Amino acid sequence: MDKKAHAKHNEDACEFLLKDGNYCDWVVTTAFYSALHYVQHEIFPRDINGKNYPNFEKYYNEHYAGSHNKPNKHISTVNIVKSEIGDQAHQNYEWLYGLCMTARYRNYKTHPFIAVEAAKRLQRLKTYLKK
Amino acid sequence: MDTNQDNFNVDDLEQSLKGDVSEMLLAYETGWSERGIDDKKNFESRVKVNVDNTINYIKEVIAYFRKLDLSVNGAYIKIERVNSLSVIITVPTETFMNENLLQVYSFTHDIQRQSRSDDYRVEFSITYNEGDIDNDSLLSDGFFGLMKPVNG
Repeated sequence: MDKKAHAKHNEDACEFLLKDGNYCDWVVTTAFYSALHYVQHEIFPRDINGKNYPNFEKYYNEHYAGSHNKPNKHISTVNIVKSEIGDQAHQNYEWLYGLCMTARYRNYKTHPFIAVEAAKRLQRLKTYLKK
Repeated sequence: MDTNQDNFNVDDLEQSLKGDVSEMLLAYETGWSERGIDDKKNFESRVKVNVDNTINYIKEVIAYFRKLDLSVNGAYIKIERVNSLSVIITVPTETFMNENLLQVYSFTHDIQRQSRSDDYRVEFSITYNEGDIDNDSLLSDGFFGLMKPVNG
C-alpha cells in the first residue's frame, strides 16, 4: 500500500469508527496514523539539505548517520512536518501525536468530543497539504 | 556485526545467533571494566546537568502557558538516555481544546531545536488530564511526576 492509500485507508477507518460512536480511542489512533501517512506522502520524495530522499525510511536511515543523539521516527516526522510543510500543519500534527501517544496513560478513555476534534484536526491538517 | 542483510545460512541460524550474542556480551563486559568509576561519575554528572536543564525548560513552557492564559495541571519527566529526555505536560480538557494551545507546540519545538546537540535532547508532549491520569502506568514507562496533578 502506498503512503496516500494507507493514509486514506486509516482515514476511512477513522470516519467509520467515529460514526459508530463506541471506539473513541481508536478514532484518535486512526486519525493520527492517517495524518502520519499523509504528511510523509506530502514530504517525500524531497531534496533536503542538498540530498535527495525518496521516502521517509531512507531519510531516517541516512539523515542521522553519525549522530550520537538520534530522535525516534515519530519525533523525526514531527520535525520534518515543521520544516517542510509549515507551522500550522506541525501544530495540528503534534496535537494529534501527543493525544495518541499518551492514550494509555488515561487507560484509553477518550471523550466523544475529543474523538470528534481529532477527526476535525486531521481534516484541518489535510488543508495544509498539496499532494 | 552485519547489518540487515540476508547473507547468513538459515540452516545454521541458531549457531550464528549464539556467536553474535557472545561477541556483544564480551564487548560490553570489556568496555564496562575499562570505563571504570570515573565514567560512572561522568554519567551521573551528565544526567544531573541534563535534568536541571530540562526543569528550566519546563518552567519556560509553563510561563508561556500562563502568558496565553492557559492552564497546566501536571508535568512528567523521563530519562530516555543520558543525553535524551522526554517531558509530558498535562492540561485541563478545556485547555487541550483551546485553539491557543497550538501556539505552545511552536514554542516547545523551538526549545527542542535550539537546545539539541549530541549531549542533549528534550522532547515535549502535551495531553489532557482530568485528574484520573494513570500514574502507575506513567511510572512503569519511566515518567516521574514533577507536580501533584489536580482536577482541571
